[in-house]
Amino acid sequence: MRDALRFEWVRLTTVRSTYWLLGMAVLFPALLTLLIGLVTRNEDVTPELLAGLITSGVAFFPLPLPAVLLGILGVLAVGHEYRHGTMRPALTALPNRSALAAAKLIVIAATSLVTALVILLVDYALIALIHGVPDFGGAAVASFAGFVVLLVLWGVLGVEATLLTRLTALVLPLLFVLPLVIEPVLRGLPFLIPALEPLQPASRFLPFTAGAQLAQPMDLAAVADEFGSAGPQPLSRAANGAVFAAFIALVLAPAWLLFEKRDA
Amino acid sequence: MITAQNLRKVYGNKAAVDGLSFEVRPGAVTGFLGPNGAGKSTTMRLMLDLDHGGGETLFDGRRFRQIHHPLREIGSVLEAKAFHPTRSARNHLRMLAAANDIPAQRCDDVLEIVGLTQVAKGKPKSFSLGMGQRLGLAAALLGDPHTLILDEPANGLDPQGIHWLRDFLKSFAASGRTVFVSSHLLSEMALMADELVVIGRGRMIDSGPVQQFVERFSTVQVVVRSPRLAELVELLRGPGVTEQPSGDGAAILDGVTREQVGDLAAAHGIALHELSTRTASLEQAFLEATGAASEYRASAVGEGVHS
Repeated sequence: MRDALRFEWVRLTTVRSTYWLLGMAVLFPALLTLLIGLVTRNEDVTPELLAGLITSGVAFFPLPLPAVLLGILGVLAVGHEYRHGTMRPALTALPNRSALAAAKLIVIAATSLVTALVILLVDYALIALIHGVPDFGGAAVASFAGFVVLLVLWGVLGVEATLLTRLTALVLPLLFVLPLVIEPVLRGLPFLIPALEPLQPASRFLPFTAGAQLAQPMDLAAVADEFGSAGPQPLSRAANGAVFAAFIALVLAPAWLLFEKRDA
Repeated sequence: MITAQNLRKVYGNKAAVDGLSFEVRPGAVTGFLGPNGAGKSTTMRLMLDLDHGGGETLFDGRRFRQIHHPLREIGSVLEAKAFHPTRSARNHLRMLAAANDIPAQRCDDVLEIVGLTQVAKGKPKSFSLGMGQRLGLAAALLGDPHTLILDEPANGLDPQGIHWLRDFLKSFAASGRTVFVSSHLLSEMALMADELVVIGRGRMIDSGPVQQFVERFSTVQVVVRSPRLAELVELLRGPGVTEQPSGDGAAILDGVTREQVGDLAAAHGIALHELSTRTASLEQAFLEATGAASEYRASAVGEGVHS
Protein backbone atom coordinates (compact mmCIF):
# COMPACT_ATOMS: atom_id res chain seq x y z
CA MET A 1 0.00 0.00 0.00
CA ARG A 2 2.87 2.36 0.77
CA ASP A 3 4.24 1.83 -2.75
CA ALA A 4 0.87 2.69 -4.26
CA LEU A 5 0.60 5.83 -2.13
CA ARG A 6 4.10 6.92 -3.20
CA PHE A 7 3.23 6.30 -6.85
CA GLU A 8 0.01 8.28 -6.58
CA TRP A 9 1.68 11.17 -4.78
CA VAL A 10 4.36 11.50 -7.48
CA ARG A 11 1.66 11.17 -10.16
CA LEU A 12 -0.42 13.94 -8.59
CA THR A 13 2.45 16.34 -8.00
CA THR A 14 4.05 16.01 -11.44
CA VAL A 15 1.21 17.34 -13.59
CA ARG A 16 0.44 21.03 -13.96
CA SER A 17 -3.33 20.60 -13.84
CA THR A 18 -3.04 19.72 -10.14
CA TYR A 19 -1.57 23.12 -9.33
CA TRP A 20 -4.07 24.97 -11.54
CA LEU A 21 -7.03 23.25 -9.91
CA LEU A 22 -5.79 23.65 -6.35
CA GLY A 23 -4.82 27.27 -7.02
CA MET A 24 -8.28 28.04 -8.39
CA ALA A 25 -9.96 26.17 -5.52
CA VAL A 26 -8.24 28.52 -3.05
CA LEU A 27 -8.15 31.70 -5.12
CA PHE A 28 -11.75 31.93 -6.34
CA PRO A 29 -13.37 31.66 -2.87
CA ALA A 30 -10.76 34.09 -1.51
CA LEU A 31 -11.63 36.64 -4.21
CA LEU A 32 -15.34 36.16 -3.52
CA THR A 33 -14.81 36.57 0.22
CA LEU A 34 -12.66 39.64 -0.35
CA LEU A 35 -15.18 41.22 -2.70
CA ILE A 36 -18.29 40.63 -0.58
CA GLY A 37 -16.37 41.35 2.61
CA LEU A 38 -15.29 44.76 1.28
CA VAL A 39 -18.75 45.62 -0.05
CA THR A 40 -20.33 44.81 3.30
CA ARG A 41 -17.53 46.15 5.51
CA ASN A 42 -19.66 48.97 6.91
CA GLU A 43 -22.76 46.86 7.40
CA ASP A 44 -23.87 44.76 10.30
CA VAL A 45 -23.39 41.27 8.93
CA THR A 46 -24.45 38.27 11.00
CA PRO A 47 -21.76 35.76 12.02
CA GLU A 48 -23.73 33.08 10.13
CA LEU A 49 -23.42 34.97 6.86
CA LEU A 50 -19.73 35.56 7.50
CA ALA A 51 -19.38 31.82 8.10
CA GLY A 52 -21.21 31.29 4.82
CA LEU A 53 -18.57 33.41 3.09
CA ILE A 54 -15.73 31.52 4.76
CA THR A 55 -17.22 28.27 3.48
CA SER A 56 -17.30 29.73 -0.04
CA GLY A 57 -21.09 29.99 -0.01
CA VAL A 58 -21.38 26.33 -0.94
CA ALA A 59 -24.60 25.99 1.08
CA PHE A 60 -26.20 28.86 -0.82
CA PHE A 61 -24.97 28.62 -4.42
CA PRO A 62 -26.18 25.75 -6.60
CA LEU A 63 -22.61 25.07 -7.77
CA PRO A 64 -20.12 24.53 -4.91
CA LEU A 65 -17.14 25.74 -6.93
CA PRO A 66 -14.18 24.62 -4.75
CA ALA A 67 -15.88 21.23 -4.30
CA VAL A 68 -16.34 20.87 -8.06
CA LEU A 69 -12.67 21.76 -8.65
CA LEU A 70 -11.61 19.02 -6.24
CA GLY A 71 -14.04 16.69 -7.97
CA ILE A 72 -12.24 17.47 -11.23
CA LEU A 73 -8.92 16.72 -9.50
CA GLY A 74 -10.38 13.32 -8.62
CA VAL A 75 -11.62 12.76 -12.16
CA LEU A 76 -8.18 13.48 -13.60
CA ALA A 77 -6.51 11.12 -11.08
CA VAL A 78 -8.07 8.28 -13.06
CA GLY A 79 -9.02 9.97 -16.33
CA HIS A 80 -5.46 11.01 -17.18
CA GLU A 81 -4.32 7.42 -16.74
CA TYR A 82 -6.83 6.05 -19.23
CA ARG A 83 -6.58 8.95 -21.66
CA HIS A 84 -2.79 8.89 -21.92
CA GLY A 85 -2.38 5.14 -21.69
CA THR A 86 -0.53 5.13 -18.36
CA MET A 87 -2.98 2.82 -16.59
CA ARG A 88 -1.28 -0.27 -18.05
CA PRO A 89 2.25 0.81 -17.07
CA ALA A 90 0.84 1.69 -13.65
CA LEU A 91 -0.64 -1.78 -13.27
CA THR A 92 2.55 -3.47 -14.42
CA ALA A 93 4.26 -1.64 -11.56
CA LEU A 94 1.37 -2.14 -9.12
CA PRO A 95 -0.59 -5.27 -10.07
CA ASN A 96 -2.71 -5.04 -6.91
CA ARG A 97 -5.62 -3.04 -8.34
CA SER A 98 -7.31 -2.53 -4.98
CA ALA A 99 -4.15 -0.95 -3.62
CA LEU A 100 -3.95 1.40 -6.61
CA ALA A 101 -7.63 2.38 -6.34
CA ALA A 102 -7.30 2.89 -2.57
CA ALA A 103 -4.16 4.98 -3.05
CA LYS A 104 -5.94 7.25 -5.53
CA LEU A 105 -8.88 7.69 -3.16
CA ILE A 106 -6.68 8.34 -0.13
CA VAL A 107 -4.33 10.79 -1.84
CA ILE A 108 -7.17 12.77 -3.42
CA ALA A 109 -9.15 12.73 -0.16
CA ALA A 110 -6.10 13.94 1.80
CA THR A 111 -5.36 16.64 -0.78
CA SER A 112 -9.00 17.75 -0.66
CA LEU A 113 -8.89 17.86 3.14
CA VAL A 114 -5.77 20.04 3.20
CA THR A 115 -7.18 22.28 0.46
CA ALA A 116 -10.43 22.72 2.40
CA LEU A 117 -8.48 23.71 5.51
CA VAL A 118 -6.40 26.19 3.50
CA ILE A 119 -9.58 27.71 2.02
CA LEU A 120 -11.07 28.08 5.50
CA LEU A 121 -7.89 29.62 6.90
CA VAL A 122 -7.43 32.10 4.05
CA ASP A 123 -11.09 33.16 4.05
CA TYR A 124 -11.22 33.37 7.84
CA ALA A 125 -8.17 35.61 7.79
CA LEU A 126 -9.76 37.84 5.15
CA ILE A 127 -13.01 38.14 7.11
CA ALA A 128 -11.11 38.80 10.34
CA LEU A 129 -9.15 41.57 8.58
CA ILE A 130 -12.23 43.23 7.14
CA HIS A 131 -14.92 42.62 9.75
CA GLY A 132 -12.87 41.76 12.83
CA VAL A 133 -12.94 38.35 14.52
CA PRO A 134 -16.56 37.17 14.38
CA ASP A 135 -18.26 35.47 17.32
CA PHE A 136 -19.36 32.29 15.61
CA GLY A 137 -22.16 30.16 17.06
CA GLY A 138 -22.25 26.36 17.18
CA ALA A 139 -23.93 25.94 13.78
CA ALA A 140 -21.35 28.16 12.06
CA VAL A 141 -18.44 26.28 13.61
CA ALA A 142 -20.03 22.98 12.63
CA SER A 143 -20.40 24.29 9.08
CA PHE A 144 -16.61 24.57 8.85
CA ALA A 145 -16.25 20.88 9.66
CA GLY A 146 -19.09 20.12 7.24
CA PHE A 147 -17.30 22.11 4.53
CA VAL A 148 -14.16 19.99 4.96
CA VAL A 149 -16.17 16.77 4.79
CA LEU A 150 -18.05 18.01 1.71
CA LEU A 151 -14.86 18.81 -0.20
CA VAL A 152 -13.27 15.48 0.74
CA LEU A 153 -16.37 13.61 -0.48
CA TRP A 154 -16.38 15.54 -3.77
CA GLY A 155 -12.75 14.60 -4.37
CA VAL A 156 -13.60 10.95 -3.68
CA LEU A 157 -16.64 11.21 -5.96
CA GLY A 158 -14.45 12.39 -8.86
CA VAL A 159 -12.11 9.40 -8.48
CA GLU A 160 -14.79 6.76 -8.11
CA ALA A 161 -17.07 8.08 -10.87
CA THR A 162 -14.16 7.89 -13.32
CA LEU A 163 -13.14 4.46 -12.06
CA LEU A 164 -16.72 3.41 -12.76
CA THR A 165 -17.08 4.86 -16.25
CA ARG A 166 -13.47 5.41 -17.43
CA LEU A 167 -15.00 8.35 -19.32
CA THR A 168 -13.62 11.73 -18.31
CA ALA A 169 -15.74 13.36 -20.99
CA LEU A 170 -18.89 11.98 -19.35
CA VAL A 171 -18.03 12.53 -15.70
CA LEU A 172 -16.74 16.12 -15.99
CA PRO A 173 -20.00 17.55 -17.38
CA LEU A 174 -22.01 15.49 -14.88
CA LEU A 175 -20.18 17.15 -12.00
CA PHE A 176 -21.64 20.45 -13.20
CA VAL A 177 -24.99 19.32 -14.57
CA LEU A 178 -26.14 17.22 -11.61
CA PRO A 179 -25.95 19.90 -8.89
CA LEU A 180 -26.57 22.85 -11.19
CA VAL A 181 -29.42 21.59 -13.38
CA ILE A 182 -30.76 18.13 -12.60
CA GLU A 183 -31.30 18.46 -8.85
CA PRO A 184 -32.79 21.99 -8.97
CA VAL A 185 -35.23 20.74 -11.62
CA LEU A 186 -36.14 17.70 -9.50
CA ARG A 187 -36.61 19.94 -6.45
CA GLY A 188 -38.84 22.27 -8.43
CA LEU A 189 -41.07 19.62 -10.03
CA PRO A 190 -43.35 19.09 -6.97
CA PHE A 191 -44.11 22.82 -6.99
CA LEU A 192 -44.89 22.83 -10.71
CA ILE A 193 -46.86 19.59 -10.95
CA PRO A 194 -49.48 19.20 -8.20
CA ALA A 195 -49.57 15.43 -8.58
CA LEU A 196 -45.93 15.29 -7.51
CA GLU A 197 -46.45 17.41 -4.40
CA PRO A 198 -46.36 14.42 -2.01
CA LEU A 199 -42.81 13.80 -3.23
CA GLN A 200 -41.58 17.17 -2.02
CA PRO A 201 -40.11 15.83 1.28
CA ALA A 202 -38.05 13.37 -0.78
CA SER A 203 -36.18 16.24 -2.42
CA ARG A 204 -34.22 16.60 0.84
CA PHE A 205 -32.57 13.31 -0.02
CA LEU A 206 -31.14 14.43 -3.35
CA PRO A 207 -27.43 13.78 -2.79
CA PHE A 208 -25.91 17.05 -3.98
CA THR A 209 -28.65 19.09 -2.28
CA ALA A 210 -28.04 17.24 0.98
CA GLY A 211 -24.27 17.43 0.56
CA ALA A 212 -24.28 21.21 0.19
CA GLN A 213 -26.16 21.47 3.48
CA LEU A 214 -23.15 19.96 5.24
CA ALA A 215 -21.70 23.48 5.13
CA GLN A 216 -24.95 25.26 6.07
CA PRO A 217 -23.93 27.92 8.62
CA MET A 218 -27.47 28.39 9.94
CA ASP A 219 -29.41 25.98 12.11
CA LEU A 220 -32.29 25.55 9.68
CA ALA A 221 -34.23 23.22 12.00
CA ALA A 222 -34.18 25.88 14.73
CA VAL A 223 -35.19 28.55 12.22
CA ALA A 224 -38.11 26.38 11.06
CA ASP A 225 -39.18 25.79 14.68
CA GLU A 226 -39.05 29.49 15.47
CA PHE A 227 -40.70 30.91 12.42
CA GLY A 228 -42.69 27.90 11.25
CA SER A 229 -42.32 26.25 7.91
CA ALA A 230 -44.84 24.95 5.42
CA GLY A 231 -42.37 22.43 4.07
CA PRO A 232 -40.95 19.29 5.64
CA GLN A 233 -38.54 19.54 8.58
CA PRO A 234 -34.97 20.13 7.29
CA LEU A 235 -32.54 17.28 7.76
CA SER A 236 -29.89 17.64 10.42
CA ARG A 237 -26.27 18.20 9.33
CA ALA A 238 -25.44 14.60 10.25
CA ALA A 239 -28.39 13.31 8.22
CA ASN A 240 -27.39 15.44 5.22
CA GLY A 241 -23.86 14.11 5.54
CA ALA A 242 -25.18 10.56 5.73
CA VAL A 243 -27.25 11.06 2.54
CA PHE A 244 -24.28 12.37 0.56
CA ALA A 245 -21.92 9.75 2.01
CA ALA A 246 -24.42 7.00 1.15
CA PHE A 247 -24.48 8.27 -2.45
CA ILE A 248 -20.67 8.22 -2.53
CA ALA A 249 -20.68 4.66 -1.16
CA LEU A 250 -23.30 3.63 -3.71
CA VAL A 251 -21.06 4.75 -6.57
CA LEU A 252 -17.91 3.40 -4.95
CA ALA A 253 -19.04 -0.23 -4.68
CA PRO A 254 -19.56 -0.91 -8.43
CA ALA A 255 -16.60 1.33 -9.34
CA TRP A 256 -14.24 -0.75 -7.20
CA LEU A 257 -15.69 -4.02 -8.43
CA LEU A 258 -15.41 -3.03 -12.10
CA PHE A 259 -11.87 -1.71 -11.69
CA GLU A 260 -10.91 -5.10 -10.25
CA LYS A 261 -12.72 -7.19 -12.83
CA ARG A 262 -12.38 -5.54 -16.19
CA ASP A 263 -9.45 -5.46 -18.57
CA ALA A 264 -6.96 -2.66 -18.07
CA MET B 1 11.63 -18.81 -17.41
CA ILE B 2 8.16 -17.86 -18.61
CA THR B 3 5.59 -20.63 -18.83
CA ALA B 4 2.29 -19.76 -20.49
CA GLN B 5 -0.36 -22.42 -20.08
CA ASN B 6 -3.59 -22.62 -22.04
CA LEU B 7 -4.05 -18.84 -22.41
CA ARG B 8 -7.50 -17.97 -23.64
CA LYS B 9 -9.38 -14.75 -24.22
CA VAL B 10 -12.81 -14.45 -25.79
CA TYR B 11 -14.47 -11.25 -27.01
CA GLY B 12 -18.15 -11.93 -27.52
CA ASN B 13 -18.22 -15.25 -29.29
CA LYS B 14 -14.83 -14.83 -30.92
CA ALA B 15 -11.68 -16.29 -29.39
CA ALA B 16 -8.84 -13.78 -29.70
CA VAL B 17 -6.46 -16.15 -27.93
CA ASP B 18 -7.37 -19.80 -28.03
CA GLY B 19 -5.52 -22.20 -25.77
CA LEU B 20 -1.99 -20.88 -26.22
CA SER B 21 0.79 -22.67 -24.35
CA PHE B 22 4.48 -21.97 -24.76
CA GLU B 23 7.70 -21.47 -22.87
CA VAL B 24 10.19 -18.64 -23.07
CA ARG B 25 13.59 -19.61 -21.78
CA PRO B 26 16.30 -17.37 -20.40
CA GLY B 27 19.48 -16.71 -22.33
CA ALA B 28 17.69 -16.25 -25.65
CA VAL B 29 15.67 -13.67 -27.52
CA THR B 30 12.29 -15.21 -28.24
CA GLY B 31 10.37 -13.59 -31.05
CA PHE B 32 6.60 -13.52 -30.99
CA LEU B 33 5.24 -13.58 -34.53
CA GLY B 34 1.80 -13.54 -36.02
CA PRO B 35 -0.19 -11.64 -38.62
CA ASN B 36 -2.22 -8.56 -37.68
CA GLY B 37 -5.05 -9.55 -35.36
CA ALA B 38 -3.42 -12.85 -34.45
CA GLY B 39 -3.69 -12.04 -30.73
CA LYS B 40 -0.07 -11.10 -29.90
CA SER B 41 -0.87 -7.98 -27.87
CA THR B 42 -3.81 -9.68 -26.14
CA THR B 43 -1.52 -12.57 -25.21
CA MET B 44 1.02 -10.20 -23.69
CA ARG B 45 -1.69 -8.42 -21.70
CA LEU B 46 -2.95 -11.80 -20.46
CA MET B 47 0.58 -12.74 -19.43
CA LEU B 48 0.86 -9.57 -17.36
CA ASP B 49 -2.58 -10.01 -15.76
CA LEU B 50 -3.78 -6.79 -17.39
CA ASP B 51 -6.58 -8.61 -19.19
CA HIS B 52 -8.73 -11.24 -17.59
CA GLY B 53 -9.00 -14.54 -19.41
CA GLY B 54 -8.36 -18.24 -19.12
CA GLY B 55 -5.08 -20.01 -18.40
CA GLU B 56 -2.10 -18.66 -16.56
CA THR B 57 1.41 -17.42 -17.10
CA LEU B 58 4.09 -18.22 -14.58
CA PHE B 59 7.29 -16.23 -14.21
CA ASP B 60 9.71 -18.57 -12.45
CA GLY B 61 6.67 -20.29 -10.99
CA ARG B 62 4.68 -17.21 -9.94
CA ARG B 63 1.78 -15.30 -11.46
CA PHE B 64 2.62 -11.69 -12.34
CA ARG B 65 0.26 -10.30 -9.72
CA GLN B 66 1.99 -12.35 -7.01
CA ILE B 67 5.31 -10.59 -7.57
CA HIS B 68 5.93 -7.98 -4.88
CA HIS B 69 7.94 -5.41 -6.88
CA PRO B 70 7.30 -6.54 -10.46
CA LEU B 71 9.43 -3.86 -12.13
CA ARG B 72 12.43 -5.35 -10.37
CA GLU B 73 11.81 -8.65 -12.14
CA ILE B 74 9.80 -8.04 -15.30
CA GLY B 75 9.99 -4.97 -17.52
CA SER B 76 7.42 -4.47 -20.23
CA VAL B 77 6.54 -2.12 -23.05
CA LEU B 78 3.05 -2.65 -24.43
CA GLU B 79 2.37 0.69 -26.10
CA ALA B 80 4.52 3.44 -27.51
CA LYS B 81 3.84 6.88 -26.07
CA ALA B 82 2.09 5.69 -22.91
CA PHE B 83 2.85 8.81 -20.89
CA HIS B 84 1.22 12.07 -19.88
CA PRO B 85 2.15 14.73 -22.45
CA THR B 86 3.23 17.36 -19.92
CA ARG B 87 4.86 15.15 -17.29
CA SER B 88 8.59 15.16 -17.99
CA ALA B 89 10.30 11.94 -19.03
CA ARG B 90 12.21 11.87 -15.75
CA ASN B 91 9.09 12.43 -13.68
CA HIS B 92 7.29 9.69 -15.62
CA LEU B 93 10.05 7.31 -14.59
CA ARG B 94 10.15 8.68 -11.02
CA MET B 95 6.44 7.90 -10.72
CA LEU B 96 6.93 4.27 -11.77
CA ALA B 97 10.11 3.95 -9.69
CA ALA B 98 8.21 5.15 -6.61
CA ALA B 99 5.78 2.26 -7.06
CA ASN B 100 8.57 -0.30 -6.73
CA ASP B 101 10.87 1.42 -4.26
CA ILE B 102 13.51 2.05 -6.91
CA PRO B 103 15.95 4.91 -6.20
CA ALA B 104 15.39 8.08 -8.28
CA GLN B 105 19.03 7.93 -9.45
CA ARG B 106 18.10 4.86 -11.50
CA CYS B 107 15.78 7.07 -13.60
CA ASP B 108 18.78 9.05 -14.82
CA ASP B 109 20.71 5.84 -15.46
CA VAL B 110 18.04 4.29 -17.69
CA LEU B 111 17.47 7.58 -19.53
CA GLU B 112 21.16 7.51 -20.37
CA ILE B 113 20.97 3.88 -21.48
CA VAL B 114 18.19 4.67 -23.98
CA GLY B 115 19.76 7.97 -25.05
CA LEU B 116 17.14 10.37 -23.68
CA THR B 117 19.25 12.23 -21.12
CA GLN B 118 19.05 15.47 -23.08
CA VAL B 119 15.26 15.51 -23.02
CA ALA B 120 14.87 14.13 -19.49
CA LYS B 121 13.27 17.29 -18.18
CA GLY B 122 11.35 18.13 -21.33
CA LYS B 123 7.66 17.56 -21.86
CA PRO B 124 7.22 14.40 -23.90
CA LYS B 125 4.26 15.75 -25.89
CA SER B 126 6.67 16.57 -28.69
CA PHE B 127 8.36 13.15 -28.60
CA SER B 128 8.44 11.20 -31.83
CA LEU B 129 7.18 7.61 -31.87
CA GLY B 130 10.77 6.42 -31.62
CA MET B 131 11.49 8.62 -28.59
CA GLY B 132 8.29 7.33 -27.02
CA GLN B 133 9.52 3.77 -27.56
CA ARG B 134 12.83 4.64 -25.93
CA LEU B 135 11.04 6.13 -22.92
CA GLY B 136 8.92 2.99 -22.68
CA LEU B 137 12.06 0.87 -22.78
CA ALA B 138 13.64 3.06 -20.10
CA ALA B 139 10.60 2.37 -17.90
CA ALA B 140 10.93 -1.36 -18.59
CA LEU B 141 14.59 -1.26 -17.52
CA LEU B 142 13.97 0.76 -14.34
CA GLY B 143 14.13 -2.17 -11.95
CA ASP B 144 17.04 -3.89 -13.75
CA PRO B 145 14.69 -6.83 -14.46
CA HIS B 146 15.63 -10.36 -15.52
CA THR B 147 12.77 -10.50 -18.03
CA LEU B 148 11.63 -8.13 -20.77
CA ILE B 149 8.25 -8.37 -22.52
CA LEU B 150 8.11 -5.98 -25.44
CA ASP B 151 5.28 -5.45 -27.91
CA GLU B 152 6.58 -4.10 -31.22
CA PRO B 153 9.43 -2.13 -29.62
CA ALA B 154 11.03 -1.33 -32.98
CA ASN B 155 7.97 0.57 -34.21
CA GLY B 156 8.94 4.13 -35.03
CA LEU B 157 12.65 3.64 -34.41
CA ASP B 158 15.05 4.88 -37.06
CA PRO B 159 17.60 2.43 -38.54
CA GLN B 160 20.21 3.38 -35.93
CA GLY B 161 17.60 2.91 -33.21
CA ILE B 162 16.64 -0.51 -34.55
CA HIS B 163 20.29 -1.52 -34.71
CA TRP B 164 20.81 -0.32 -31.16
CA LEU B 165 17.69 -2.17 -29.95
CA ARG B 166 18.81 -5.38 -31.62
CA ASP B 167 22.26 -5.23 -30.05
CA PHE B 168 20.81 -4.29 -26.69
CA LEU B 169 18.30 -7.14 -26.59
CA LYS B 170 20.84 -9.68 -27.81
CA SER B 171 23.33 -8.68 -25.13
CA PHE B 172 20.52 -8.58 -22.53
CA ALA B 173 19.64 -12.16 -23.41
CA ALA B 174 23.30 -13.18 -23.63
CA SER B 175 23.67 -12.25 -19.97
CA GLY B 176 21.27 -15.08 -19.12
CA ARG B 177 18.11 -13.01 -19.02
CA THR B 178 14.81 -13.52 -20.82
CA VAL B 179 13.49 -11.51 -23.75
CA PHE B 180 10.04 -12.02 -25.27
CA VAL B 181 9.51 -9.59 -28.11
CA SER B 182 6.84 -9.24 -30.75
CA SER B 183 7.52 -7.58 -34.06
CA HIS B 184 6.10 -7.45 -37.53
CA LEU B 185 9.54 -6.61 -38.91
CA LEU B 186 10.48 -10.12 -39.97
CA SER B 187 13.87 -9.16 -41.31
CA GLU B 188 14.63 -7.64 -37.93
CA MET B 189 13.34 -10.69 -36.12
CA ALA B 190 15.52 -12.89 -38.32
CA LEU B 191 18.58 -10.99 -37.12
CA MET B 192 17.54 -10.78 -33.49
CA ALA B 193 15.57 -13.83 -32.40
CA ASP B 194 16.97 -17.17 -31.37
CA GLU B 195 13.60 -18.77 -30.76
CA LEU B 196 10.14 -18.13 -32.13
CA VAL B 197 6.57 -18.43 -30.99
CA VAL B 198 4.34 -18.10 -34.03
CA ILE B 199 0.57 -17.73 -33.72
CA GLY B 200 -2.32 -17.18 -36.07
CA ARG B 201 -5.92 -16.41 -35.15
CA GLY B 202 -5.04 -16.83 -31.49
CA ARG B 203 -3.73 -20.37 -31.96
CA MET B 204 -0.24 -21.79 -31.86
CA ILE B 205 1.33 -22.42 -35.26
CA ASP B 206 4.85 -23.25 -34.19
CA SER B 207 7.44 -22.64 -31.53
CA GLY B 208 11.11 -23.42 -31.34
CA PRO B 209 14.44 -22.28 -32.79
CA VAL B 210 14.25 -19.88 -35.75
CA GLN B 211 16.15 -22.25 -38.05
CA GLN B 212 13.82 -25.12 -37.24
CA PHE B 213 10.83 -22.92 -38.09
CA VAL B 214 12.34 -21.86 -41.41
CA GLU B 215 13.12 -25.44 -42.32
CA ARG B 216 9.70 -26.70 -41.31
CA PHE B 217 7.73 -24.13 -43.23
CA SER B 218 9.80 -23.76 -46.33
CA THR B 219 11.27 -26.03 -48.95
CA VAL B 220 14.86 -25.91 -50.15
CA GLN B 221 14.91 -25.21 -53.88
CA VAL B 222 17.62 -26.19 -56.35
CA VAL B 223 18.74 -23.70 -58.96
CA VAL B 224 20.28 -25.23 -62.04
CA ARG B 225 21.70 -23.65 -65.20
CA SER B 226 22.89 -25.65 -68.19
CA PRO B 227 23.20 -25.33 -71.99
CA ARG B 228 21.01 -28.50 -72.15
CA LEU B 229 18.56 -27.28 -69.50
CA ALA B 230 15.36 -28.49 -71.18
CA GLU B 231 16.77 -32.00 -71.56
CA LEU B 232 17.96 -32.10 -67.96
CA VAL B 233 14.61 -30.86 -66.60
CA GLU B 234 12.82 -33.50 -68.65
CA LEU B 235 15.06 -36.19 -67.13
CA LEU B 236 14.33 -34.86 -63.61
CA ARG B 237 10.56 -34.88 -64.00
CA GLY B 238 8.84 -37.27 -61.66
CA PRO B 239 6.40 -37.44 -58.76
CA GLY B 240 6.79 -34.47 -56.40
CA VAL B 241 9.25 -32.61 -58.58
CA THR B 242 8.09 -29.23 -59.83
CA GLU B 243 9.80 -26.57 -61.86
CA GLN B 244 9.33 -22.87 -61.42
CA PRO B 245 10.03 -20.70 -64.40
CA SER B 246 13.01 -18.42 -64.20
CA GLY B 247 13.52 -15.69 -66.71
CA ASP B 248 17.32 -15.82 -66.76
CA GLY B 249 17.93 -19.21 -68.34
CA ALA B 250 17.91 -21.14 -65.06
CA ALA B 251 15.42 -23.59 -63.64
CA ILE B 252 14.26 -23.56 -60.03
CA LEU B 253 13.31 -27.03 -58.87
CA ASP B 254 11.31 -28.21 -55.88
CA GLY B 255 11.23 -31.80 -54.67
CA VAL B 256 14.73 -32.73 -55.67
CA THR B 257 18.13 -32.40 -53.99
CA ARG B 258 21.26 -30.80 -55.37
CA GLU B 259 23.02 -34.16 -55.25
CA GLN B 260 20.32 -35.87 -57.31
CA VAL B 261 20.55 -33.17 -60.01
CA GLY B 262 24.36 -33.35 -60.11
CA ASP B 263 24.39 -37.15 -60.30
CA LEU B 264 21.80 -37.25 -63.07
CA ALA B 265 23.62 -34.59 -65.10
CA ALA B 266 26.91 -36.47 -64.76
CA ALA B 267 25.27 -39.75 -65.74
CA HIS B 268 23.99 -38.20 -68.98
CA GLY B 269 27.06 -36.08 -69.67
CA ILE B 270 25.21 -32.83 -69.33
CA ALA B 271 27.38 -29.85 -68.51
CA LEU B 272 26.23 -27.65 -65.64
CA HIS B 273 26.92 -23.91 -65.43
CA GLU B 274 25.24 -23.51 -62.04
CA LEU B 275 24.02 -25.88 -59.36
CA SER B 276 23.00 -24.24 -56.12
CA THR B 277 20.35 -24.33 -53.42
CA ARG B 278 18.09 -21.51 -52.34
CA THR B 279 16.87 -21.54 -48.73
CA ALA B 280 13.73 -19.63 -47.87
CA SER B 281 13.95 -16.58 -45.64
CA LEU B 282 12.11 -16.22 -42.34
CA GLU B 283 9.64 -14.03 -44.17
CA GLN B 284 8.87 -16.74 -46.71
CA ALA B 285 8.52 -19.30 -43.95
CA PHE B 286 6.28 -16.94 -41.98
CA LEU B 287 4.04 -16.30 -44.98
CA GLU B 288 3.85 -20.01 -45.63
CA ALA B 289 3.07 -20.81 -41.99
CA THR B 290 0.50 -18.09 -41.38
CA GLY B 291 -1.06 -17.79 -44.81
CA ALA B 292 -4.25 -19.53 -43.80
CA ALA B 293 -4.34 -17.86 -40.40
CA SER B 294 -4.31 -14.23 -41.49
CA GLU B 295 -7.20 -12.32 -39.99
CA TYR B 296 -6.96 -9.37 -42.36
CA ARG B 297 -5.68 -9.87 -45.87
CA ALA B 298 -5.36 -7.24 -48.58
CA SER B 299 -5.94 -8.15 -52.20
CA ALA B 300 -2.97 -8.82 -54.41
CA VAL B 301 -1.59 -5.94 -56.44
CA GLY B 302 -3.92 -5.31 -59.35
CA GLU B 303 -6.64 -7.53 -57.91
CA GLY B 304 -9.90 -5.67 -57.59
CA VAL B 305 -8.61 -2.66 -59.52
CA HIS B 306 -10.76 -1.90 -62.52
CA SER B 307 -10.02 0.67 -65.13
